[in-house]
Amino acid sequence: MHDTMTSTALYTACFEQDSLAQHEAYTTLWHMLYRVAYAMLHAYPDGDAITTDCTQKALIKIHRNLGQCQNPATFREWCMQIVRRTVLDELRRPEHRRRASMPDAEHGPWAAPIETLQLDDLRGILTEVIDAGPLSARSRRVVVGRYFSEQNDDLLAQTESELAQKPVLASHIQVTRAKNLAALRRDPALIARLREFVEEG
Amino acid sequence: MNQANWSQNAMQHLVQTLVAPVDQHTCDTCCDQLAIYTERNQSIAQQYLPPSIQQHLDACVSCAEYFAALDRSFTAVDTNLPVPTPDLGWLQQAPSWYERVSSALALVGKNIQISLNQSLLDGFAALQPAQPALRGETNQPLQLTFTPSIQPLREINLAIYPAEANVCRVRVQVQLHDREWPDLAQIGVHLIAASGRQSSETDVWGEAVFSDVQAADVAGLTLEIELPTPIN
Repeated sequence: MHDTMTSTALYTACFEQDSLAQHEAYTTLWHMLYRVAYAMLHAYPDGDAITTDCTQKALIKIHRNLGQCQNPATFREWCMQIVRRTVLDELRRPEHRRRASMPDAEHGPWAAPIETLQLDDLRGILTEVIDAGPLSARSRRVVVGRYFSEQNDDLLAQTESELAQKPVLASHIQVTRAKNLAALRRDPALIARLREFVEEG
Repeated sequence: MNQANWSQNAMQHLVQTLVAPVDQHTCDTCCDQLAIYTERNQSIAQQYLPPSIQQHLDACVSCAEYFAALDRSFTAVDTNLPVPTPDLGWLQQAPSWYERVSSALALVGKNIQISLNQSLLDGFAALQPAQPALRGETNQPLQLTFTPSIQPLREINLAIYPAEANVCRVRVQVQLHDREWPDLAQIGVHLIAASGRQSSETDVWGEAVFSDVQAADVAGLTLEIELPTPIN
């Protein structure tokens, strides 16, 4: 397998019908695209199976649309675009959206205490919710960091990477924050009370 | 955490995120915007996204995961990852007629391109309706019709007349959804062949005629049409 083939050589080989060169070119592409799809999907349930399906779909799309690649010198980048788009289309399917909206193991049912909801000031409610709500220590840091310390996710990821002593991507910070805010959003009484503050301005 | 320093604006911002509606429309808008970065082959940091998208990503786990998946696609991939063996059996399958016609069409900037090849011409020839033989007439053109779903195009008709002295006549007719005769004039049409490029414009009927196309060029001909801006 020639993983060092240039884009142009790979592109040319893909056109060589029923040849060993074509088979090798598509095998090279398969390895390249599988890794990208895996990076995108491995965290999902059935990640391995979806990765294989998406890579296969992307490879067939590439084969059918080879003529639309305008610049063979950027063929690899063109193929990357196709696999990314294929995975993103897969992630827009309703089953993935439904799963994402369900509470995960770390965020069970939670409701703000009635005394919290009866507080008159927004600061008091938010303090209680952030301190005593279903938020982990990291979650508190990423919510407070974004909203009250004006730290962007690159900065927050750097801090979390140092604390965890392993790389944490900025986009993972985004997911953490969304999951924790979603846990708060599942309390209808809290959301109704917060809406009153929005309406009051 | 010093809550005394929390500004009213920051608190309102957080509350707005918590009470913001998450519906199919906002998710579609967010995913469409993020998918644009796929076309550009580049990663994007959260802080450079439009504020409405930033807020939606905080409010919607599914879109946050979508964003993270896109971001991970730009990170270094593990070269030691065990990759299963591909199933390339589909390479041996002949493409369907629909696939062959679709692959002949491409949008290049604002122009649509139709790339002819011998297999496509043979396919269209097999689809030609039987013509009545009137007065021994034998020079019926090969008719090709394309209906790409690209606005404002309705149909592109191509007629290739049999060669005389190795020269063919090619007639192109462009039909649009949003206008008809006599407003179909001045659409740029180009024929790109191995022997050179010819350019013309449609007349009021949407027709452009190229009367001296080398017969040998037809099987590798590329037709390019400058798409007019749709009329709203």
